[in-house]
Parts: sequence; C-alpha cells; structure tokens
Amino acid sequence: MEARAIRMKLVKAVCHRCLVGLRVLCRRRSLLIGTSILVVVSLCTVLAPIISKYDPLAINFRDQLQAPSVRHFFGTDNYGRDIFSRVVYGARVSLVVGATTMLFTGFLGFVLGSLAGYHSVLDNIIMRSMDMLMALPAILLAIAIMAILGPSALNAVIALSIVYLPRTARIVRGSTLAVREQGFVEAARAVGAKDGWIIWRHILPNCLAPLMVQQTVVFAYAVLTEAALSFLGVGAPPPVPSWGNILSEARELIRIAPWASIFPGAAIILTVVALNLIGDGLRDQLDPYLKGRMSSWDGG
Amino acid sequence: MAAYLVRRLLWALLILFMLSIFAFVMVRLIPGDPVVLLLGLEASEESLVAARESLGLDRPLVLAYGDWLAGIARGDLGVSIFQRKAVWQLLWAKIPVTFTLATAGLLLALLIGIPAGIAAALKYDSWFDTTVMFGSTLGLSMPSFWLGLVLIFTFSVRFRWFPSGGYVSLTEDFVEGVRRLCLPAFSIGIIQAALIARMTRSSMLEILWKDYIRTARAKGLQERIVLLKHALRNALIPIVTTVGMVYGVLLGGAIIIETVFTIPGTGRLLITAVCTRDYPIIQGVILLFGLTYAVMNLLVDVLYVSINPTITYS
Repeated sequence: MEARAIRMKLVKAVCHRCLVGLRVLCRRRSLLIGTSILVVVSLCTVLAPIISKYDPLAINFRDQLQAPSVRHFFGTDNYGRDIFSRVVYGARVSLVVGATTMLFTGFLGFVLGSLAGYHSVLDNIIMRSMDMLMALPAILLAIAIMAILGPSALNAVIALSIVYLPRTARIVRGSTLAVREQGFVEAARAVGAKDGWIIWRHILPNCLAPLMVQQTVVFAYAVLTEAALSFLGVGAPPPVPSWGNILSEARELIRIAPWASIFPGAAIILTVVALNLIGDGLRDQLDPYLKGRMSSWDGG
Repeated sequence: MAAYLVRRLLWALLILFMLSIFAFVMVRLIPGDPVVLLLGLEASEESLVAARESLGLDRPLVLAYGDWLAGIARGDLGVSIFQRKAVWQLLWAKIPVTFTLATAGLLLALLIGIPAGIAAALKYDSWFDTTVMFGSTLGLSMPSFWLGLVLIFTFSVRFRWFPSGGYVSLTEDFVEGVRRLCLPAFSIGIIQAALIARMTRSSMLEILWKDYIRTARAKGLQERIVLLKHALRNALIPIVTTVGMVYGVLLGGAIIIETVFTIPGTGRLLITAVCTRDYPIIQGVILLFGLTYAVMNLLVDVLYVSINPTITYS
C-alpha cells in the first residue's frame, strides 16, 4: 500500500515537472521555436527510411543532376543519388556527433572545471592546459587531432570533445569558485562531508544552469565544426553521408547543380539556428541576469 | 601597467612553450610513416633507414624536441619533408595570404557589426532591432564554407561580378587583389559581424540606461555627442576584448575558406601537410597560430587602456 502511494507521488511529481516544463516552453518563444525545429529534424533522422523513398547511397546515372522536382525534392547529384535522402540520412551523423560531443564535454568539463574550482592545487594545472587548447582556432586543433586519429565519426566526437572542453570547463570553474565560498558549502564541510559529496550535492546543482546553456552552444558548434571537418575531408568519410561531406562533393557542382549545395547547407543552418534559439531561451529562463550579458557565441 | 604587461608576456610565453610540447608530441603520434610516403612502398629498408636518419626522425623524442626547440630559438622551424624547403620559408610565403584574408574579414566584421549593433540598440524592440537580431542569429548559424559556395554561385557564376577564386597580392595589383578578396573575406567576415553586432547591441543597451548618459542628455549635449563620446566609447570596451578572439576565429575560418576559393594560403599548406604527414609544417602552423593568438591578446590588453584610461592593472 505504502509502495503504491510512493509510486503515485512519484508519478504526480513527474507529471508536475512535465507541466512546468511545457509551460516554460510555451512562455519562451525562442525555446518553443528552437525545440520544435529540433524535434522535427530529429524525427526526420529517426524516420529516415520511411520519409525518403530512395537509398542515399544508390547510384543511378539515368537520374544524374536532376533539378528539384516532385520526384526528387532536393534534386540529385552527379551520381544520380537523391539529395533529400542524403540530407535526411546525413543528419544522423551530424546530430549524433553533435549530441555525443555535447554529453562528453558536459561530463568532462564538469569534472575538470569543478576540480579546478574546488582545489586550488589542481586549478593551475587544469586551467593552463585549457588555456593552451584555447590558444588555437577550434578548426585547426580539430584538424590536427583528426590527423592523428584518422577520419571517422567516432574520432570526430573525440576531436570535437577535446576542442570544446576548455570552454565548458571554464564556465563550470567560474560557477564552482562562486559556490565554494557560500555558507552552505562551508556548513557541509564543517559537518564532515567529503569533497566528492559536496561537489555532487552542492556544486553540481548550482552549476547546472550555465552548464546547460553552454552545452547547447557546444552542440551547435559541434554540428558546424563536424561539417567543416567532413568538408575538408578529415571528418566522417564517404560514402556514409554527412552534411559536411555532401557539401564537399557538391562543391565541384556549384556551377551546374547549385541545389546540391544549397539544401545540405540549409539543413545545417536550420539545426544550428534551432540550437541557438534553445540556448538563448534556456539562458533567459534559467538565469535572467545573464540575459544580454553573455553571448552564447564566444568564438570557436 | 608595465609590470602587468611583462607578466602577461611571460604568461604568453608559457602558453607557447606548452603549445610547442603539445605540437611536437601530438604530431609524432600521427599514424603512418612519412618516409614511406616520401620514398614509396617499394623503397628498400636501407634507404628508409638512411632517409629517417637524414630527416632526424630516428632520434629519441626528447632529443628531437630539444633540437627542434633550439632551432626555433634560432628562427629555424625545420625542413619540410616533402617540399625539401625550410618551413619558415614556406610559411613566410603563405602567411601574408592568410593574414590578409583574416584582416579583411575582421575589417568587414567591424564595419558591418558595430553600426548594425548600435542602430539595433538605438531602435530597441523595433522591427529593425528584430531584423538585426534575427540576421545575427542566422549569420552565426551559417557555415562559412557554405556561404562561400553560395556567393560563388551568385556573384561569380550568375552575375559574373567577382572571380570565383585565386589570389592576387594587394601590392602586386591592388584592384584585382581586392576583387578576389571580396567574396572570401565576406564569407568569413559576415559571421563574425553577426557576433560583433550582438555584442555591440547588448553592450550599448546596458550603457544607455546608465546615469551618466542621462546626465549628459540633461545638460543639453547633442545626441550625437552623447552616443559617440559617452556611450560608444564605453560600449566598445567589451568588444575590443573580443577582437583578439575574433581574429583567431577568422584565421580558423580562413583555413576552410582557402579551400573553397582555391587560395594558396596557410590553410591549404596545412591540409596538404596533414595528408602527407609533413610533421615540420604542421608543427610550424600550430606554433604560428598560437603565436598570433598570444600577440593579439597582448595588443588587446594595451588597446584596453587607451580606450578607457580608468582601467588600471595591478
């Protein structure tokens, strides 16, 4: 009986949270638009085999360089491959690489940032290493790392995680430094709480707002940089389509088949705009003080 | 101030030193033997050993790093494995190209971004403000290489206003040089213009509400003077701090855009070096970009003080 009551309470709490989330979503226009676009793009990637009737890898020389039409929504490339299918399937690589990079940098950035902020001994070592990584343009660092690891989607995740780690670690460190001096942390320390517990129980919840905002930015950056890496030929290798390598192949066709470049690019822009809007909306919602003060695009 | 700058200089040197270790160790981890690439798969074991010895690739990592560092101190970045030329010589030929492109991008970004940001702040919450903000969100979400392709299609293929690629030095033929620079510089500049417009807008908005602006208006100053002398000067401070960073991003953008517009700059040199495992060039490019970042940030610190003399460093 008691277990059932607890379960009911839990369900009620979850429903309440969902309702609050929905209400926030509806109140913040940018959050609503951004989330809607991202949901549609994600659904397209999941339902790719249903919504696209062509195999993205199927070569068909009879349909070479067809302009957009009812048969081929986005036209075809020089191998007669349907660009709509390639864009929809290509979203899988781009979104998975972006989302995984976001999770990796979020986790590692939190660990390194909180350690640097909490332990002054580790601070110098960690932050100077981060400074060193930030002294290079993101794309240069990513190319250099990809040169070591070799071109693949997984290696792109590793390279992008290293590239965007310093930005996340910096933000977590900043929040940790602010929280560390608060009375409740001192109280926890006074009653003998271990460092790990304090970081988990007190530092993490207080870092979560800026961390979430930063990670949507990392997601957006990762999508853009992965496309750039694939475009340069050091990202996810063909024939598996990714937005970057579709654009790379379409580069030679820009004079005769501009649609082969325009649509994959538009897909990248749409996704990144959505992530950008989510970032802006989250920032306004989670920390109104930050609104307008912190640019979500602090370089890369 | 001087003590602060010395401290910053030492800091920059430390970062560069760490970067040199990183560049050296990382580049040696790249799989594939450059000597095999150089001599081909059919090369005999003896010739491979001899080539490794002559290029110094057989030396232990620490000793090789020591040699490399000593070389850098003498201004020698090593010799390219494939092109058989001094890395410094190769970089020297490509640096002006990439830096001209990045500088043109920065100028465009500032020329478009700052006025757009100021106008948006002055017309806060109007259709103009919304348009600038939407435009900047769009600009920030755009891959520069895609924009480059669209510009080539529109202005080179359709209207034939600009050439679709190549590079002509500005000292050789200024007009042709500028014509060839327009599209690539716009491709990378407009994205940073979006960032600068956003920052200028928010910085201006914050300052326009300050008491001293109200006082300046109350004492009957012309609006132009209030905006330019009182508001903009203070609003520029956070923007100046980002110029160093923006320049770094533009250099990165130049690496990609050089490929789109077939510009023979550092980016193309780097991509070729990565494909051929030409270690010394990769190391040289990494150090060069790191050095640029450090110098730009030092310059920003100096510029900071000249814009706002109330800032003191202790």
